Amino acid sequence: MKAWDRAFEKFSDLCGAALLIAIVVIITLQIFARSVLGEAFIWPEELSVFLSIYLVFMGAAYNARHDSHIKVSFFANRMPRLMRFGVTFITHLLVLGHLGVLLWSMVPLSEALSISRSPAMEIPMLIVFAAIPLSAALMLVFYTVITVGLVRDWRAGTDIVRPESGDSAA
Amino acid sequence: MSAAAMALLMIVLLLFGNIPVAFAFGIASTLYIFTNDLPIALTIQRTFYGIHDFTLLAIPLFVLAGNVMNISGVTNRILKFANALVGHTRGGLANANVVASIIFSGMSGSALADAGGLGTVEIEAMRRGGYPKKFAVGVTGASATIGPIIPPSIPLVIYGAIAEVSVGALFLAGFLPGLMMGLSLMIYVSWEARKLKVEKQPTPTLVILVKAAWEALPAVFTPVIILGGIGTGIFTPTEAAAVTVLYGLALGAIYRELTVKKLAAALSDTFRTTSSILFILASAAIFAWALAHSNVSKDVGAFLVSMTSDPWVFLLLMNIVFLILGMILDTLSIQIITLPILIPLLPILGINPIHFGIIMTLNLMIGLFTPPVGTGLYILRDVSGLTFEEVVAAVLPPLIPLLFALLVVTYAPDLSLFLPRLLGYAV
Repeated sequence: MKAWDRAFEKFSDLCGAALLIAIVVIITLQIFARSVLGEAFIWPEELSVFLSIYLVFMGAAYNARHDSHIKVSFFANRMPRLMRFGVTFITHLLVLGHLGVLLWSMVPLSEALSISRSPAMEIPMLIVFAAIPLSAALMLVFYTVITVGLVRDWRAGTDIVRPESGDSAA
Repeated sequence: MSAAAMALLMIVLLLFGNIPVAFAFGIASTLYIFTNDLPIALTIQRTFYGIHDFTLLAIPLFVLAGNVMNISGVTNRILKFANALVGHTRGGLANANVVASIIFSGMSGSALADAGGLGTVEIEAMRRGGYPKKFAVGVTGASATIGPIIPPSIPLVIYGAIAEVSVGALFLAGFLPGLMMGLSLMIYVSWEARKLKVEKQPTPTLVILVKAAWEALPAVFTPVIILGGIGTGIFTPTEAAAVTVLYGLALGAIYRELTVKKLAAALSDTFRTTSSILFILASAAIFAWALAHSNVSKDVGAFLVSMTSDPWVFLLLMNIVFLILGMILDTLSIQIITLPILIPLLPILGINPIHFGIIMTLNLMIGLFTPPVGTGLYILRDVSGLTFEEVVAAVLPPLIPLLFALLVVTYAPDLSLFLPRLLGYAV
């Protein structure tokens, strides 16, 4: 599992960096084409938005793996231990349920998406939308591991206080 | 209680219950879809289209730009230049801290990047200069709030996307209020410095001043590129963000401080941070839709307007509400929950949405440094080594001049609207 973990971390970091660099390059090309060559293309805007969608959902899976999504831990950390465990456990079950719904909601759409194409590059929209169920599936696995770990911590009597730190870019 | 009102209540409860913010919005909205027999496909559709927006691309790019600036040797040069400019005044290094934050604000759109990056250098410099650590931390926290008011600004990009107003106009509108915040902080610093037994620095010679200015010039030039480019219509805010990234990389190469390892760390941090923010926006898109679909935004809006039809009283009320919300919720959640309700009220009350965007963002930035849930406080704790309680005690006094600045920004709309109007925006 540790080897898989490391491989996932390296792979996501690499993909994240590659996607960010690609977005910067595409947008720069767009500015160059418009201001220097006097040509305005539609595809750079579409492609950079699609890449950003993959960036976001890949990052969402990465943050799920590290349990580092932005959250307000202050109040839960000040609850009595039993209540804190109960609240955190229930909210994790709700997260799992929501991820299941997100996966399920792709089913009725997939047929329509398989024939639908993006306006500028005519990419099958199924490929672009696929970022969400792929990420949801990974998150489902990671949050299951986190929830099992939470129960294990509880049974072992380990403290389950979560760090209160900033992970927001405001 | 309607299903939507229940969903709203559920979000607040979930947010307090240690749940990732993105899922709080997602779960409550899914509940709304189930209880109203709406098609389940809406969940994924709205999530997708929530971030299918070229304007929002400015967020990862401006975060990357801030991170690149932090590793390209810009921060030390800015602080050196700021010190050469105002270091000889009463409270010299503290004033230099404020001036450096103003300059850094022109290249980073995040208060937390300022507090965590430049802030580390500022606190250390002030401590070595004989200033009490608490004073240094307080001034650093308060001056970091200027970051997202002076363009570029991540909260203003999000506001522009949700409120559907020009991000370019918002950027220009933040410039003068940001300078005003800096000025009010410098007045506070000079006043407080009278009590401190810190030796005044000598007035720098012209040679030192010119040398510091020359070294910092490329960095100081960044806001000119961003504002000039957007103001003259050469590029959009998102394109300006990409240009800022390239400019930061060029600065790092010129200053010979950029390494592949540092760049990889900056890219990794940007990836994690921005995907976290944009994932919240994606999950919240369905929530915004549910609010509109259920008429809750209309009902709450009608209630608010029934309380007062006077725009000035309304703005005062909003300032109080935002300051309270800032103490208990994170910035993004406040924007997502309140904006769909408040934006439709602005034309009814005759409030300019660009002006309102600046007021709201200033409130939210103060909220970043107010306990108990002020993300900035935790960052200052981590970079200063003080306890959380000590950081709170240090930051609260310098927030008072910012509250004064907030009042001026609220009741003098022209301060915000002058620049966008001057550059031809119809606001």
